[in-house]
Amino acid sequence: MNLKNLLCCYVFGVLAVQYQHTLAAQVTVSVEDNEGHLIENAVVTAIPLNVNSFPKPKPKVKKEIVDQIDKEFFPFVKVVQVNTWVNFPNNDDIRHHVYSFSSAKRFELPLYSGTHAEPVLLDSSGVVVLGCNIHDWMIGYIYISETPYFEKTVSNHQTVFKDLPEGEYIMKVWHSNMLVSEESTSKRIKLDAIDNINIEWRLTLKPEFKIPRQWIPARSSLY
Amino acid sequence: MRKFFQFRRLQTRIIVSFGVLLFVIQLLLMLILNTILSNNAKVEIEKNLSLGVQLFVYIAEEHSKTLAQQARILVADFAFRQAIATEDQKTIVSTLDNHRSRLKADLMFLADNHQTIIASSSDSGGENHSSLLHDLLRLAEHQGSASSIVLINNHLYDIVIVPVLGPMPIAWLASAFIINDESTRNMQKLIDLDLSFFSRETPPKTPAKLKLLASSFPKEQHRFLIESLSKVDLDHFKNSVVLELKQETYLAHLKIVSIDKESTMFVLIQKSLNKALQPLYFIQQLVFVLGLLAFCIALLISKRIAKNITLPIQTLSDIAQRLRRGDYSTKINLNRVDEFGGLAFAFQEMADNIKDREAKIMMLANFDALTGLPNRIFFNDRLIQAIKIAYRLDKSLVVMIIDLNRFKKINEIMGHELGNKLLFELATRMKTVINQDIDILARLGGDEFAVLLETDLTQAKNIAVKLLKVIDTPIELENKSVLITASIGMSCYPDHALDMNSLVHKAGLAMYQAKHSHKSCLVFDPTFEFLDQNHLSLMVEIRRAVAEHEFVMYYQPKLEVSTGIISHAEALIRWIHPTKGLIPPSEFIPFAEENGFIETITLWIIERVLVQQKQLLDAGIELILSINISSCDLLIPKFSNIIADLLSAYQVPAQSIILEVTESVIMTDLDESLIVLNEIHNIGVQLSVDDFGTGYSSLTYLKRLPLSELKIDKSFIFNMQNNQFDYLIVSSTLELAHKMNLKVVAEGVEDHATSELLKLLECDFLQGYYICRPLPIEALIEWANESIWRLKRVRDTDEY
Repeated sequence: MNLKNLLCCYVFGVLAVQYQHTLAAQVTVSVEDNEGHLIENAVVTAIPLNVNSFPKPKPKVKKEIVDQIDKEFFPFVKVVQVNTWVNFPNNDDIRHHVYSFSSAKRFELPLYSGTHAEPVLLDSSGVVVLGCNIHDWMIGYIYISETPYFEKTVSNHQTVFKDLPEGEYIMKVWHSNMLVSEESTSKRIKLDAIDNINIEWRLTLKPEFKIPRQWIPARSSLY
Repeated sequence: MRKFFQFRRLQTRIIVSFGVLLFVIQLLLMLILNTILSNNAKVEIEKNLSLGVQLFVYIAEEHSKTLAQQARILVADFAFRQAIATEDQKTIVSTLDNHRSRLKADLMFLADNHQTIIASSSDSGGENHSSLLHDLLRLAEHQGSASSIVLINNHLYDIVIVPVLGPMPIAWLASAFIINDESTRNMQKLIDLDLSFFSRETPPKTPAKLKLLASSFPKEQHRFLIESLSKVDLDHFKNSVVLELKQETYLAHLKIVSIDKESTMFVLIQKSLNKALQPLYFIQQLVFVLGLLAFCIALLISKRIAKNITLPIQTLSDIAQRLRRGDYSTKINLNRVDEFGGLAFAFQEMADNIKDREAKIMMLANFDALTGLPNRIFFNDRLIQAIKIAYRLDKSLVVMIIDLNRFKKINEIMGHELGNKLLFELATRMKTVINQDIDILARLGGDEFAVLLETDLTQAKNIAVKLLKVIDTPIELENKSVLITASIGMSCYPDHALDMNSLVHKAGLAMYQAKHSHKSCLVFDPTFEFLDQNHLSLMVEIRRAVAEHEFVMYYQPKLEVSTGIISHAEALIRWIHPTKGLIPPSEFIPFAEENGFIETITLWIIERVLVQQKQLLDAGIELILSINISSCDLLIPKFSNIIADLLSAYQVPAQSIILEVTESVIMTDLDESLIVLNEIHNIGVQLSVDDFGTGYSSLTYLKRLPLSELKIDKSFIFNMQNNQFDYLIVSSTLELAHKMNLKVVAEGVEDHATSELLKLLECDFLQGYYICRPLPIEALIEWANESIWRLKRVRDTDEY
């Protein structure tokens, strides 16, 4: 069953990409920090102005995965379209207690191991912060996008939107540590068939809130 | 003040010196000890305090860490997080209350990520603390958590802020733990130091308003604590501050525990100096008591030492006092071998020596060193005692004064050494006469001896004769036979005087009288006293006589038998005394000889004669003048030169004067006299021997003298007509003299018969009243003009 699903996904994906490629113009985005370095794990979304141009998708059969490997969520940032089922398989030999208090989706997967946990349907857009009740340092993000047009940045090269159809879009960027709101990053663009557009964001990031992985015994200030 | 320190007694001085020295040493010791100990104590307290501060900081940090840890554990509770996530206010507040009691926190707040307090435990009071919390929350958000000490509603809180993770911080929990007196006292138990928390406004106002927030001191002392704190410059304190708190002194360290925009919180950690110095006070008291004890003991010891030193000194001082009184009988021995023993020995030596010397002085004082005879003091002393005894026993005493004649001259001629030998010899001889067991023979001084006889005058006269006999016996000294005579004067108790001085005086007068009257022995007679007074004044008067020209020269012409002409005259001195009239030379010349006045007189005479010879020549009278010179004159140094000088000064030829010397000159020292006489002879002056026949002179001596004339004493001439012996002497002398080629002058020719007789005997010159009595020069010139005798007249002035 799994294998069949995977095969279906693959065929659909390849067809879709090839189709879009022939129709759409290319938008290159770069998200940089104040020093001009490319920021990874930023999510850029393109929202067509004509809301009706794309419907809210039905909950997909296809399930996205946020893995738990070596007591970390993987990937750290996961982007999915709204109404996507997400599985939280546990690849560690210990149990995890994954939860979210985020308003986009509140859920709790009590102690489990392996793939026993039920998939979670992310049915409204927003950001879900994932945590593990046992391992405080385990933090992960799931960005639930309204539109199907989204890309996650990487640090080593620019991110390219290849299959955006013609039309007008609002482009936004989100990052877990950004100081400003996502709305404030909105940029309106108009795409023609053969346009190649470069869009840049410069974000000020607050320092990453990081809980130490291991408990470090308090050192005496006297010695 | 100075007087106070002048202790007269050595013992007191020693004790006081010891005492002062000891006192100073102990004082110094105590001061040094005190300084060291109190410094040590201060250093110790300092150390204590800084350790206390470190301990406080450590404990406070650990405390807030623990609190934070506890809070973290609390907020990690999933149910709690879920409850927070519900965002249901009521649920959240009740959750907070629950957790507040779990943490035993006094206050609890929940804030969102925008530092807005979203909930607080039900009894957390108003919102007026939100501003301070806001700052702290921002800090916590920035660094993950925060803790601080904050003043809320006038209460001091230890606040810990931790995030509520979901899994990112979804809220911040602030737990506040009150710091009050109780918790401060707990802390005090831990660090064993008093501590207090107080606040001051930020920034500080003047005057600073201090608020005491919590203290381990009892409530009633808080007021004083604030008072003393307000005197401390809180911005510029260094290590420690000193606080005076209700008669107790504290050393304190200050530390700022937190600063916010409203207040600055200080912690004051302090320790009582009084308590810390308690052991020091004990040591001080101990040292003081020990010092006092040592001082007392040292005083006792020093007293003993002082006594040890001063006791022998006292003993020696007593001995010295005894020695001063002349008591040498005590044996001085301290039985010690130290310095005092040595001193005592020296004292003993000294006493012995003084004793010996005193005996020697006694000897010297009472006895004459030369002859060994008692001296005047001893003699007088014995005389006084003898008088007392004689008075009681009704007996008589005789005092005899013996004086040697012409001893002074003998001494001058023969030297003092021989003189002393002479005296010694005479003393030895006299001792044989005097029974020294009963009577006393003493030497009064010089050539004067005295004898005290416990007998009557008759007996005494016998003894005097014996004495004179031993004295008169010639003495052989250095191959010379010396003949010496003595004069003895006697006085008798109680006939002449009743006391010692008078007896000696009167015996002396008798002796002088004997000497003057050329007698060997005389008993005192009251008439002597008058003479004696004359004699005493004579000296003064002779001096005056020379100065006032009271002396006058008289001339007695001599008849030259062969020519019948008055060719010579003898110059004779006369003293015209202003009150006593004319005094003959026999009354003052011997005295002048004795007192060394004769030289002056002789020289005056010669000069006078030379002047008057010129006057006579001017009057046409040419006379060869004879001048009498004393034997003393021959002792005048360079006598012949003086005569020669005078002759040439007055331009008188030497042949026109003749010097007459007495036989006694030859007697005394022929050799010495010969030299002088020869010198005189050599200048051309003729020499004549006066009073020939009265002395002991022998013709042998005459032969050796450079004489040209010889004068026969008038005592022979007076009686030569009636006395065959005298006639014989005169005639034989004349014959002998002529044979020796000497001219002879006969003195005392008073009548025609005698003059005829002498002419018959071929006497060369006649002198006497028969020719002319002595006349002053004016009378002589007058006489020459009217005389029956022919005078040699100046015929031709060219002769001179």
